[in-house]
Amino acid sequence: MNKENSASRNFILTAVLWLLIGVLMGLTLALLFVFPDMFRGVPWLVFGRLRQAHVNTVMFAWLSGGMMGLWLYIVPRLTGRKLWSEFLGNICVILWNIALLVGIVGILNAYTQSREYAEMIWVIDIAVMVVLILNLINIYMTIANRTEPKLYVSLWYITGTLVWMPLLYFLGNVMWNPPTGALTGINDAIFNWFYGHNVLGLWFTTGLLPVIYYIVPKETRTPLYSHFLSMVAFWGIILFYTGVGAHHLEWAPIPYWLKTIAVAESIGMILPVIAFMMNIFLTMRGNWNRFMTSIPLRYIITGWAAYILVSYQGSHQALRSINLITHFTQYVPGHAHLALLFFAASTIIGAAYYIIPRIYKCRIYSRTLANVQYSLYVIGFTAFFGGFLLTGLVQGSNWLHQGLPVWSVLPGIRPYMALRASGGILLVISFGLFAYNIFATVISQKEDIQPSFHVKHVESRATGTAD
Amino acid sequence: MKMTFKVILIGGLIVFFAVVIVAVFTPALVWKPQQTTIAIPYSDNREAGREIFYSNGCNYCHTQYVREEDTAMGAVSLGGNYVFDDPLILGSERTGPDLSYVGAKRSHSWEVDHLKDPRKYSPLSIMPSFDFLPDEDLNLIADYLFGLGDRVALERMISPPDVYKNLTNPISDPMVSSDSQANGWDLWNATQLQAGKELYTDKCLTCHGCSGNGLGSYGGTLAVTPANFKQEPFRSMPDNEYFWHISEGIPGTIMPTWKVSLSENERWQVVQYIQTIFAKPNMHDPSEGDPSGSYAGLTNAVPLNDQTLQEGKEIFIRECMVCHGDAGRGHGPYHQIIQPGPPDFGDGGYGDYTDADYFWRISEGVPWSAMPAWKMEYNEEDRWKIVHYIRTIFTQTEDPLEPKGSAPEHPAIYDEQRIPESASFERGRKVFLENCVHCHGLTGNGQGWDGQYLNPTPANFQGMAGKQMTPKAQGEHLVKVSFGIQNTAMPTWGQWMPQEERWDAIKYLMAVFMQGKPVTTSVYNNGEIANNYALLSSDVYISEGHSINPDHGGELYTQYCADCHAEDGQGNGPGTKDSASKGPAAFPNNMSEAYIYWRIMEGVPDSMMYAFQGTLTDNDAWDITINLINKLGGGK
Repeated sequence: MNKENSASRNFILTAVLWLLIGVLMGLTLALLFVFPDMFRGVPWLVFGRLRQAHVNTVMFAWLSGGMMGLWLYIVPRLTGRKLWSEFLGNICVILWNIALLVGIVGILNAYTQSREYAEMIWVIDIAVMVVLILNLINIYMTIANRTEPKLYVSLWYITGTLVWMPLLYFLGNVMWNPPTGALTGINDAIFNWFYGHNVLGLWFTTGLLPVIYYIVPKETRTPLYSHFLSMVAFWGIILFYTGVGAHHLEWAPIPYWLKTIAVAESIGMILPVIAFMMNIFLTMRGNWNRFMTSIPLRYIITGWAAYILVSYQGSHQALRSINLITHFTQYVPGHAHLALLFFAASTIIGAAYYIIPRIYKCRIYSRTLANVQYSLYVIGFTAFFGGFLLTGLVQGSNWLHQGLPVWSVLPGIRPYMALRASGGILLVISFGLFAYNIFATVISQKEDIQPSFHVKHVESRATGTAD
Repeated sequence: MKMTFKVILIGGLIVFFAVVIVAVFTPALVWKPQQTTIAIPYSDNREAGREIFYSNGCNYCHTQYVREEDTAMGAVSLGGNYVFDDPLILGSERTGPDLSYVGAKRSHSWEVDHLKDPRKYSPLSIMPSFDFLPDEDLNLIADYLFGLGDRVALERMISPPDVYKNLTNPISDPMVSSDSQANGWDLWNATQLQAGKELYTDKCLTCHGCSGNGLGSYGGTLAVTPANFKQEPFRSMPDNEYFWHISEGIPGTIMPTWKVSLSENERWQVVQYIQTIFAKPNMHDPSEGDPSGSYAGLTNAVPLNDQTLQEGKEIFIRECMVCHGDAGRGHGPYHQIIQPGPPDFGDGGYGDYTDADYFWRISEGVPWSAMPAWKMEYNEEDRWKIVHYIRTIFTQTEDPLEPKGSAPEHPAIYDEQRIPESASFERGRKVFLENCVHCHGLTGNGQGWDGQYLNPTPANFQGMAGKQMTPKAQGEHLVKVSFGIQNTAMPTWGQWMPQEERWDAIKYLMAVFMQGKPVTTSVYNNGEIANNYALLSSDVYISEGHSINPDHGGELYTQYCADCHAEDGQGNGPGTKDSASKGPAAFPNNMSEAYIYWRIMEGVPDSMMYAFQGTLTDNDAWDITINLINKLGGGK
């Protein structure tokens, strides 16, 4: 439990297992839209429960677990010392996985608070909070005892994220009201969506941008383009992202001014997104050949592109006139999947391909598999995302412009839901290959035959830190 | 800026909390919506049902809030509807219907059954089956659902959106004085009713029809029948709801969103026209007034010849016949539902009418009536053709064209058509009764009540007795029925009824007037009354609040029965003298009233005895029945 990098590795590997469970749940849901009686009579496979379990599995067990694993690798590299406590890190891994296992099995057995993204019951919330705080202590202590005096931009984000998320989680889960984890009445929606959106905004975004900031310069052996743009993005995100939650409630009976603030903040997000986009784009300038040769970089840049897409889509979708059509439709979960299944997942997959071989000082088990996986991932996601968008637009326009009742639209969207499920099958295969490749890498530990990238002066120029 | 750990941590928290205070804490402190009547405290059962509901994630497909732009889901949700909800389950996706007001729409046991097997009730549903839950839980969910959206508090499910809610018609109702001063046109124009009529003719007529009953010529092609302004809910619909529907269209139908092409005032003008002329036709100025100056003294600009007259006839049959009738007597199928009714062109009162008098009425419509402003639909040439048709054929104030009786120009293919196997005698009898007898007579002797003033008088089919319907004659008959007969009032039925029905009528014609269908094959046998007529009696009919008027029955008897059965019921009536089908025998004097009523309504199969159901009302048939009983004896 005290082995160097073991906490990082354990977080990542357990997350990969959760990924398989999460996407199989997702595929089942996609199929249930087309064949509603497929698992008739199986309580834990009923749509309403499985959807919550799916969301919590991919968001917390896979993405959050994986993301914390990435941090535990990156933070020591950027601070120039070992992790403060591998033991504490491993305690986090164990507690996190047990808590989520219990929480998700609980949801499948109808123990849920049924508030979107805040479904898990109070006991699990406590365990999650404990892990978040232990993790904060571990990383803050590492940073506090660093040998590299300057803080690279990745560390800004990780520092911030570590303190914002527990606050968010506490407020969003209304943890001072254990029985239901909710406020009474309409204000609960404001708390729920403040938290719900910021799980993306102040957890996955601010948790994974540092990974992109770290790996892009490393893999291209080019220093980050601009310190100034990094600052614009960092302060822009925290200023604008924090208040967008109410754009989920643009038609709900909450104060109108609050909705206006949420719309304005959503549009404001364009600023930090452009800053981040240009910063990475200009860092990549002259290095695009690495996009094809480096598997980690290919996934990371795909994640970067997906982040830009999802951010613009989000800002655009928050406009009242657009939201009028898209709200309540499958367009919205489509947007969520662009964020989590394309931006977040791609970034974590890329980083896992970067980190796991380095932890074991070996090379990726099979570059071919990784290439095949990438093709399946992009093609599968395109079909999958297209299915969501088309379903949503057909729903939205039929409701709004034709005034048709909800049920009468169902036959019209069935083909698009089938398209989504087809894309989902490709995605599940792709993730299966990923998991196989990662575990085969760990088991086979093929000798690293590539020339070492660890040229010291390049490293330090790239990240402004000593490795 | 130097990004130190302190700057990041403290700065990050300051910005974070600054936004959280504005966007989360402030609304939570200031937003305290008042409890509404929708919000009622949950009973223990409903609370438990609610928990099962959200524990199974039902709220991930069913929303519980109605937005202003939602169509027909009920009142827009207010914050105060949720004061007892903990946790709040608004929902973010609407894969299934919104449940805000689902309560008390269906029975408790329906909800339970539907939860178990949704597709049994909603074949298109993709909702999972919840038959794995114990009945106890399903009952609790049903309890919860049954109380959602208080029916006592709810005003109505379909109400106009806020912007249309409190609108009033800016056009004031006409003030019609009781003096007999002829102020028709001035008043009519001043109330913008003429503007409304022109818009209605231009935009609405094709579906809603000239008489506002939703049976316009295009309306007949639609699966969802256009609104009939004569019936509820439209008859008493308030102005603002009319305005809303006209502005936004009707979801799920082809009713367009007229706000795109009509100004606000134009939409109100249409509302005013529909309300005044169709929905509440209770205000009339008796004066039609005179045509405006530009019409005075006009004479028919189109030469009268076979072709223009034929074209005038085609337009008349397509557009005018529904009210004016094919014989011009004002007896078209919809004449009773418009007020005032259409005029009788055959009453001889048109001697002083000039071309201009016809032309302006056709062009501008007639004030205070449903007569459309045809200038919106037909050009001057077409309108003049209609004038020719009315004047030569109906009012007979213009010299008729000769010769009469030949078939108009038509595609040669019609001559080659033959009676199809599928043509039906029984259907043909009905087509004949509904469309032909008022001119050609019930016995086909050309003595129908509407057609006697025409020149030439309607054809007497009895002259065809014993003739053969050769293949060539079949094509000729189809041509005459479809395209009418040159320079006569014989309608161009091809403009009106499907070819199938035209063949049915020709088949009837052949069977009855050429070959003969003697009616006396039926012998009175009270026992053969069809089941659904066997227990009928005039006593029951009267006890249901109706009254029977045998005198009226006598009049109807003269109109519909005496031709064949003779006034005294002895059979071989005057109309049957030369008929190939011969006349009926005398009535037996012991017929039961149920038997008579049954025969009137259903006719006698495979004979000339018509089925009058649909042509005569129930009351008419009882009047005749009792009249006949009184005449013959017999009875219950």
